[in-house]
Amino acid sequence: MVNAKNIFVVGLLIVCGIVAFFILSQSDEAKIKKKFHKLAEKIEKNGNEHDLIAAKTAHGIEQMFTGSVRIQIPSYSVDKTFPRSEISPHVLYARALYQKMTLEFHDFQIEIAEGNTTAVVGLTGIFKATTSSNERVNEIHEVECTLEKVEDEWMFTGIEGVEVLER
Amino acid sequence: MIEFRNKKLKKFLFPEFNKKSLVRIIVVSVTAFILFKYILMPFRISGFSMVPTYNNGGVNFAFTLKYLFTPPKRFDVVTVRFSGNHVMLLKRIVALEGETVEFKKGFLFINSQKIDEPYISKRQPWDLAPRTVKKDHVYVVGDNRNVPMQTHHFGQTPTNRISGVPLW
Repeated sequence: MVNAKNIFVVGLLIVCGIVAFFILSQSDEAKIKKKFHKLAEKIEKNGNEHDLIAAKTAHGIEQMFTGSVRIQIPSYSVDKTFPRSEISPHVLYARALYQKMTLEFHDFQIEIAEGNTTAVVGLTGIFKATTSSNERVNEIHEVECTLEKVEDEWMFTGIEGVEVLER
Repeated sequence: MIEFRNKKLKKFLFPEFNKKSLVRIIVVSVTAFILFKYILMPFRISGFSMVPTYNNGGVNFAFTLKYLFTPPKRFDVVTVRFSGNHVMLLKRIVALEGETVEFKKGFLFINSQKIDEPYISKRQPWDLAPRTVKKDHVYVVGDNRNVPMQTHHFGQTPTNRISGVPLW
């Protein structure tokens, strides 16, 4: 006999099934986007922060990159490959420099290579910050990031700033 | 309560909700979406790069079909896709592919010929060594030359980055 209890159990099973389906079938594109949003979340700073929290955040950001990382930003004449361990000091320096900072990502164009092990992501990065002397920074760049899949986890391996206007 | 003496006005402002009006709403919404998303993209000018032609805070529309059948011409003001479709640059084309661009004391030279630029009001003494515009590229500069050259964003860009032209 159909009663309220049975209907509730069936309903609950259906909901669990749908949730499980979405969790298990999360596409690589969704995972990559999530990675970027996580990076933006970690980079965000709002006011003073304790040194230990800054160090933990920097370490968290560092863990999102592969063993070696290539950064190319032609407009700043930066073209460097460095080990992951060098990321933390740079992040800590930036966090000390800015009182507030946010990073937003838009216009995702994700291309996953055959084999699902590498991906190239084109996007817009908007960095807004305020220095301790209250100077505002507003940088917008088109960026091309490369990611590698390591043990089912997408990791950043390269960041390239796209030069739109070349003098 | 407002009483409508004119029945036609009432019908226009508060039409009866039926199948026909639903179709009308869908058609208008879809048309507006396509029009303003792909053909007439609204944008707000942020910055002083095109002063005095376009001022900071102005609102305009980028007409995207302008170069569907004709190539970009010199002195056209164009929107250049800067970062995805989120940010665009508003600049003026000053040179086309294969031409040589040069600035001497703030004056523009194309293929060693001094170019008259009536849209410039004041200029700083920009000096830029000659350079040739690459294939499928155009050279764009803002109209506001009354700033140091180092702080002005200009240069050559692929033509496929041109997303449209301002409507006015």
